[in-house]
This record gives sequence, C-alpha cells and structure tokens, in this order.
Amino acid sequence: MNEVIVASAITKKFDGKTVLSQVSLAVKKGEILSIIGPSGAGKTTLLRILATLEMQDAGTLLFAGNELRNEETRMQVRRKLGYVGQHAVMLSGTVYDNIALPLRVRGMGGMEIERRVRRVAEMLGISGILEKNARKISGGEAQRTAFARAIVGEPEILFLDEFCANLDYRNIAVLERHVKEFSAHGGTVVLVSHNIFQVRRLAHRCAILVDGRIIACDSLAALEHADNDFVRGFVEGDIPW
Amino acid sequence: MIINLLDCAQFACTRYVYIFISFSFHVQNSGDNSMKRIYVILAVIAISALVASGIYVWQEHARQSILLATTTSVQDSGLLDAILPDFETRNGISVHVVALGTGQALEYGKRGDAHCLLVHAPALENVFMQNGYGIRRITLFWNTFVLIGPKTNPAGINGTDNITQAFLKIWNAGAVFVSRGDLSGTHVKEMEIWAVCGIDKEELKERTWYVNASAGMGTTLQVANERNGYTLSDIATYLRWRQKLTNLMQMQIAVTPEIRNDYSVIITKTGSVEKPSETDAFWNWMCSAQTRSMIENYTINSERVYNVYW
Amino acid sequence: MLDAILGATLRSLAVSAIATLLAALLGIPLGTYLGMRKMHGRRFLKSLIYTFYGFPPVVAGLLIYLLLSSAGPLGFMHLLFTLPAMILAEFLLAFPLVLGITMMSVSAIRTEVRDAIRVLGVSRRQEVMLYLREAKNGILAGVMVGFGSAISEVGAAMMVGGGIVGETNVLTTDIMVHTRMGNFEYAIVLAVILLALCFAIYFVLARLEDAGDE
Repeated sequence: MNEVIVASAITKKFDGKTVLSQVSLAVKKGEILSIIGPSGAGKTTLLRILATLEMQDAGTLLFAGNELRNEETRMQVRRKLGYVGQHAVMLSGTVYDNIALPLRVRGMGGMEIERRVRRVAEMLGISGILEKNARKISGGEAQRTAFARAIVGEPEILFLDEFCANLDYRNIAVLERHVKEFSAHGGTVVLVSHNIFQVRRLAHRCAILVDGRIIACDSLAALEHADNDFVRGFVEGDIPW
Repeated sequence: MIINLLDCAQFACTRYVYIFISFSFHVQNSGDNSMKRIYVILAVIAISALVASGIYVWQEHARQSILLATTTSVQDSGLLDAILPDFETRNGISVHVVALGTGQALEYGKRGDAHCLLVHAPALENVFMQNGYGIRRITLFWNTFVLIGPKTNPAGINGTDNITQAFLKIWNAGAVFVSRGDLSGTHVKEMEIWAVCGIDKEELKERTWYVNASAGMGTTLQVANERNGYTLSDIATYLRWRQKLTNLMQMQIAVTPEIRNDYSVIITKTGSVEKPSETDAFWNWMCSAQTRSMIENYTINSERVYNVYW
Repeated sequence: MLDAILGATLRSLAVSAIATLLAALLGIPLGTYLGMRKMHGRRFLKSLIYTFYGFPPVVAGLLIYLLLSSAGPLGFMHLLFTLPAMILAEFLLAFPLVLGITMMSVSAIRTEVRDAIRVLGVSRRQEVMLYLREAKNGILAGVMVGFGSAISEVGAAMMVGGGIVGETNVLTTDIMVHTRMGNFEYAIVLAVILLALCFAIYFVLARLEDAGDE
C-alpha cells in the first residue's frame, strides 16, 4: 500500500458557505506534498481535515486503507502523526515539557523520554532553552519547539501549516533541512505554504486549491509545463497570491 | 473540643498516609504527576476530614448534652455563662445554648430542635403549652422593662407616671421614639402598651418621630442615642450598653405589672422524649434553691438584673 | 479568652477549608466536563449557575435548617447545630462559584490550544488532565473565590450551626454576636484575625499560580 492517505470527494461547509467541494487527493508514502493556492482557498481547512482535527461534511478519508470509525482509531492514527500549526502553540510548562508531551501521552518511560527529547532539541538547536518557560521564549524558538514536539514521537506523517511564518532565513533553513531528512527517511509530509519558493525547494508534488476545488495535482516539473496559464504562472511565482 | 479535634486529626493522618502510599504505586508517568498528586492529596484530605467529622458527630450524639434555646437578650446578659457551668459540673451534661429571637426559639421548640427553652413571652408560651409542645413550664424569675430616654427629657416624664402615662406624654409631645420593630418580646410588649393607651398601630407608623429600627436591643439603643429618642428596653441590655449611651438615661417611672418581664423555663415534648434523664436533671437544677440564688445574685456592673419567684 | 479565640479560629479554618475542598473536588471535574463540551443547552445551564453565584447565603441557611431540623426529612441524622451542617451550608455556597469559574476557564481555552492537545492522540482522561493544566490559573481563582465566600459566611453559619459557644462558633458568628453585645474591642480582634487568616490562605494559593502567563 503506497498511499498513506486517500481523501475522496471531501466537502466542508462553514456557516452555509462551502469551503471545500469534492476534493480528492492521495498522498504517497515518503513524499512531500504541498497544498498551495490563493488566500482563502481552503488550504488550512483541508490540512486540518487530513490531520483529523476537523470532520468533513461529506466524503471519505482513509489512512493506510482504514476509515476512522471511532475515537479509538482516531487516537491511534493521531499518535502516528505530527502537526505544526500556524501559531506555534506553547502549552503550559517548560520547553522540555512541551517537547516531551507526545511521549508522556504514550506512556513512555522517563529515561527514554529524556534521551529522545534531548536528541531532537540538539538537532534543532534548542538544547539551551529546555528549562525555560515555554511562554517566555522568542517566536523562532517557539516554532522550533513546536516542530520538535511534532517529530519527537517519530511520526509517519508530518502536517505543516505555514510552519516558517515568522522565522528568519537561518531558522527556515534549519527546519527545511529537517523536513527533507524526515522525508528521506521514509516519512510523509503534507505542507501548506504561501511561499512558492519554499514549495519549490521542498515539494515533490503540488496540489493547487482554488475556491475549494483542486484544479491540478502533479509533480512540480509537470505543473511547470501545464496547458493552463494560471497553473503555470502560479507555480512559477508570477501570479500574486 | 480541642482534644477531640486531635483525635480526628490523628485518625485522618494515618488514613491519609496509607492511601497516599498505595496511590503512589499507581501514579503513572503521564507527565501530569504534580497535578495528579495534588488532586489525590486534596481528595484524601477532604474525605478523611469528612469521615473524621462524621465520627465526631456520632461521638457527640452519644455524649450527654441538651440543647437550650433562649433569646438573644438572655444570652447577651451573660446570665447563662454565669450559671450553666454549675449544672455542667454537677451533672456532667453539657448544655448547648442557641440564642434566637423569641418567635424563633418557640418555633424551634415546636419543631423539636430544642430540648428546653428559656423565654419571656407569656402569651406565646401559653399557646405553646396548650398545643402540647411543652410538657413542663415554670415561671422562674422576672425583671422590668425600662424606659430609656434623652437626658433632656422633652416629653417631661416624671417619677409618678406609669408606663402608659409616659407613653401618652411621648405621643402628645411628638418626641422621638425608637422601636425594635422585630416582633421580639420587647417589641411585643411595646405594642401592647400603645394599645392600652388607645393609640392605633397604623397611626404610629405615620408619625415621623416614630422610628422603626428593625433591630436587636443593642442597635435600637444606639439609634435612640443618635436620635436623642425614647425607647423601651430590657434592663440587662441597657446596663451593658449604658456607658456608650452618652445622651440617654433611665427614666424613673412607677413600676406596674404592665412592664413586668417574666422569664420561664420550658421542657419541650421532644426534649422529654429524647433526653428524659438529662432534661429531668436540668429541670431539677433550674428549680433548685441554689440556682435561684445564683440568678438573684447575678449582676452586671454591680447591679442586679433579675428577681426570682420563690 | 485565648482558648475561645483559638477555638473559633480553628473551627473557621476547618469548616471553610473542608467546604472549599469538597466544592473543588466536585466542582472542578464537573466544571471541566461542562467547559469542554459544546452543549446546546449551555446558555441555560450557564444562567442557572450564575444565578447561584449570588445565591443569598441566608436562604441556603434556611433551606438546610429546614432539611436538618428534627421536624425535617433528615432530622433523624441529628446534624443540626453541628460543624458538618455548617460545612454543608458553606459547601453549597462555594460550589457554584468553583463550578462556574472552572467551566468558564476551561471553555476559554483557545481553539489552537485545544487542537494542539487533540492532535497528540490523547485519551479522554489525558485530554481532561491537559485542559486542567491549561486552565489552572482560572480554576485556582475559582477555588479562592469559593473559599472567600465560605469563610466570610455568617448568616447561614449561624442558622445551621447555632453559634454555640465552644461547639459551633466561628470567627464570623462571634464577631456578629459580640458586636451585638457591644464588645467592640473583642469583635475587632476577631476581625483582624479573620483577615489575617484569609491573607495567609490566599498567599499560599497564589504561589500555586502558573507564573508564566502574561
């Protein structure tokens, strides 16, 4: 089974307004798939539905061929994924507590948790702030902490929503490197980003979402040579978002 | 009381330690160790305390005690504080005193919440006894109500007036009069006197010089002090407040039966049923010559307050 | 006299502390549960709880008196004029406060925070524990307010406890009685002790607050 996530005919309405309409999408194992499109197209909503944070109104969602029937399966699936939202949400406690949380939730032992947390912190360059109150760190540090929290549990799928929003170029480079490494080791990534250049750097495939519909979904190379002017312009960065 | 608390505390502590230890083995490494532990500690403390106080109540019930309901003026006079220890030492029975308004005390007697009553409202007491709520009653001692008024004495009350004449003088002079207005024994007596004078309750309310304090005796006296007004008071409360009432003094009037304040002891039906031997002992002690002497000799600021019926 | 003051103080503390603890034990879990759910009847429930915020303590006292009186349904338990009766009265006053404020604090947790917790794959129990951690400051405030209402209670405490000297008198009922008797100096001493007690309790509770919140 090569397809980790299969979404079919996903529809979602908020307050009567249709945000997603008949969206179908398949995410392959090990790939970095980016969802791009103009503002308000429904990208974040789609990502949240794929990450099980939101329920679709219609359509099916399969994880490794299985539907999410109940709370139990939902819980199991969530433990295999990592999610970094737009606002790096820091929970109460230290940076260490935040990163360790997914492991504590799984009931892992203290020594093992310490080992993993320190390793991930080292990777992301935040070892120095582990003991600090997570609400008193800078934006860049918080974003790296959120990222660490998402990957510490060695997830199979990583969902990223504008995960580099407020970072300087150095932090962006660090995180992008880790995303590529994650994918290289067999992890799947679904990425929402405004930054077409970042998408070009990272994504294997792109799904273009406009007004709640997918108008194209292919590799970057294919999209660059698409017939549709709009799609071509989009992928080359000509069209303002 | 303190010793009992210590017992309970010991008991609670041992239980707490045991439960805490066994819980420690079950606390999982879920990361919320501190929160969980706080919660467990709180739960254990609260439950232990609850159990402890439950045991305390049970013990209390077993220990010998009776509940005496009386009025606030009796309690505040300090008479009971002075004489009850004698009963408690002789009989080993503790008397729990609850001080209420007259009506409330009688109501408690009716409902069976009090084993005995010490009140001073003969009319209401008669009804109480007729309805069978009390099985024994004796009018044990008395004192008089006193008329308190401003040192300037605008109504011109002199020593030959009796209370009815004094009230009429106040009415005619339109002098400030402060009423308790709370249906206490004192208030009821005040209304009786106005009635004897032939003055209508409603007319009184319309007079601007008539002040309804709606309060206890102490507060009413203070209001009278502020307003330089007259008021009807029981002697015990007045004696205790006298120093603070700089504008007032006791009006000398002729003593007549109308201002007599009779105090009675009643054993309630519930009391005799639930605590027969204790209420018996209390009754005998109250009626004894020794106790009557103590009541007669009780003083506030060196002045006697009560006169006993021998 | 020192005995009397000590006794009243210990009783005040014991009765109010136990009442508040019980209110917290019941109110925090229930409030958390209610705060987490999206309920259709929520507005009605909230109004109901808020009404009880300002529930006249003397009415609570009257109700409990009628309940525990010899003539009442629970008269056989002989709980009237005892400390447990006072604990019950103060519990009824503190409970709505702890419940309502906990509920408000938990429902005020932002969506992003809820998402960040949910996406970890938490079990229901874990979810609740994490919500509690996030709402900790609000919940603590609720407990403090509940304690305040319990320890300052005088009307209900008097009605169900009777203010029996040496048995059920607490600082507040003693202050009232001695003021009524004109012993102002003694009443003031008790008042100062009561305030000092409250301050000490709040000082300890405030230290549990999460310092990191802006």
